[in-house]
Amino acid sequence: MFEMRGIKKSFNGNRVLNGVDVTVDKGEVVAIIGASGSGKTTLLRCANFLERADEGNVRVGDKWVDVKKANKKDILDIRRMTAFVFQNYSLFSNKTALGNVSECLTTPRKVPRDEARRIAMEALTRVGIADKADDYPSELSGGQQQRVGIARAIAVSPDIIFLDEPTSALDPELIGEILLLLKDLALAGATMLIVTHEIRFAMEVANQVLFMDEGLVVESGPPREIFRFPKEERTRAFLRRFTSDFDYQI
Amino acid sequence: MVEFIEYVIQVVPKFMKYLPLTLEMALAAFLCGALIGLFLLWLEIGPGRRGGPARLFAVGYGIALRSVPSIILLFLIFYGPQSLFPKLGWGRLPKPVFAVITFSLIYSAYFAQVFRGAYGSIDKGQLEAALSMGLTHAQGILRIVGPQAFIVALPNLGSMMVLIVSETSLAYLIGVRDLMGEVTTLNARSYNVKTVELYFVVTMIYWGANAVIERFFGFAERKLRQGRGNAP
Repeated sequence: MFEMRGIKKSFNGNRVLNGVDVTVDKGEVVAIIGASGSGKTTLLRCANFLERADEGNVRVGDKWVDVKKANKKDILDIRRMTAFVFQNYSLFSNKTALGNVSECLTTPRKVPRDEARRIAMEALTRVGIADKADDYPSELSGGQQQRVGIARAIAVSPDIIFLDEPTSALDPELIGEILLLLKDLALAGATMLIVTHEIRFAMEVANQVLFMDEGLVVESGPPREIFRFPKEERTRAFLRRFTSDFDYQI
Repeated sequence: MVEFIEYVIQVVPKFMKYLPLTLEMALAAFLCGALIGLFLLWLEIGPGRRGGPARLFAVGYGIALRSVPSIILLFLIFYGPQSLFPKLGWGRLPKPVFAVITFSLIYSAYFAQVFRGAYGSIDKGQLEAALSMGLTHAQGILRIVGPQAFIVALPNLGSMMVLIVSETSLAYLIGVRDLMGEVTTLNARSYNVKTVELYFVVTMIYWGANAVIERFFGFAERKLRQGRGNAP
């Protein structure tokens, strides 16, 4: 179980998060949608302290952390119970695909080398690129790199995986296969908090959708409700942009 | 001309035996300088440093050491402690040690800049990815960012080594008998009639040694970069 309560964050006096609450139950997928600049990515980065929130609490499993009082150990604990998938993959470019995954097991989690390699290989097999295990990130396509990114996340058996627009940097024809992979993970019971612009994916896979605007969760609920019958005007305005894709005339 | 060449061929072997001392001094200064340089960089941009006295010291040190002519610092380090604290026995240390100390101190300031540039060229997402997967800051630097930055720094490190090898030629001024020391001695002993020949020979030896060093660093970079494809 994962929770964030009352998260506030400013950058140079500029309020980005205005008291955000999020709850993700075990095995649940929660999608965060919203326009650019609404604070989605910052929220996700505050969840594992890549960005330090000014106020609020973060809970992973049984561990509650007050972000104001969090010390190095608290932050490390939270990070070792979670995993992060980046928009631009951020694979370690000095490590092979296999090295990228096993590094996350050996160094921070003290898994013995052989055991780590075995788990890493399993994870790579699960995301379908076991044959690229010895390749460096520069030798992989975007889609393959993001698969490694996902393998890195599942290999450490986290309580929750944070995904920051995992398909935004991909070519259109690769987006589908990554979303399919994430759907499989969701069906297999992975807990995920995902920032995405893929409305159809959110519709199909998410248990809950949060719509964010100006640093607040404006509306939340099951995807069918949010997408079919949005209550808030701001949500409607945002969604109109997706449904109106085919409206314009040339 | 024939005489010139004959003389050169005759004295080259005499000089070659002083090359090791030159290279040893340079290598020692290179390694110490690099270590101090890393330490300076850590003082300057280590985690949680903004402004602070550590950073101020590192920046001030860099400016001070880069703006003093090596020859002056060499004299200061060689004569300073001897005359101020004669009881310490500073003067009994082997002379090359003073050269190594001088060049380590001066070039550490340059090393810090080389490392800072290399470190800055690595995408900050690399460290974030490491942190997000539960590595500590130190582990992220040591295992992910450092190795990548090192490859980026290699060409500059090669130039630094070449520079330091050339700089060690100043050590003869405190009486070190290295390549340069030997050539000045020989020159004096031959009443300055073979000056051009002698300096030509020693130039060739510095060139040769530095050419090998350049090749070595180039080779190391290609070898380490293989497959990893970090943008140069």
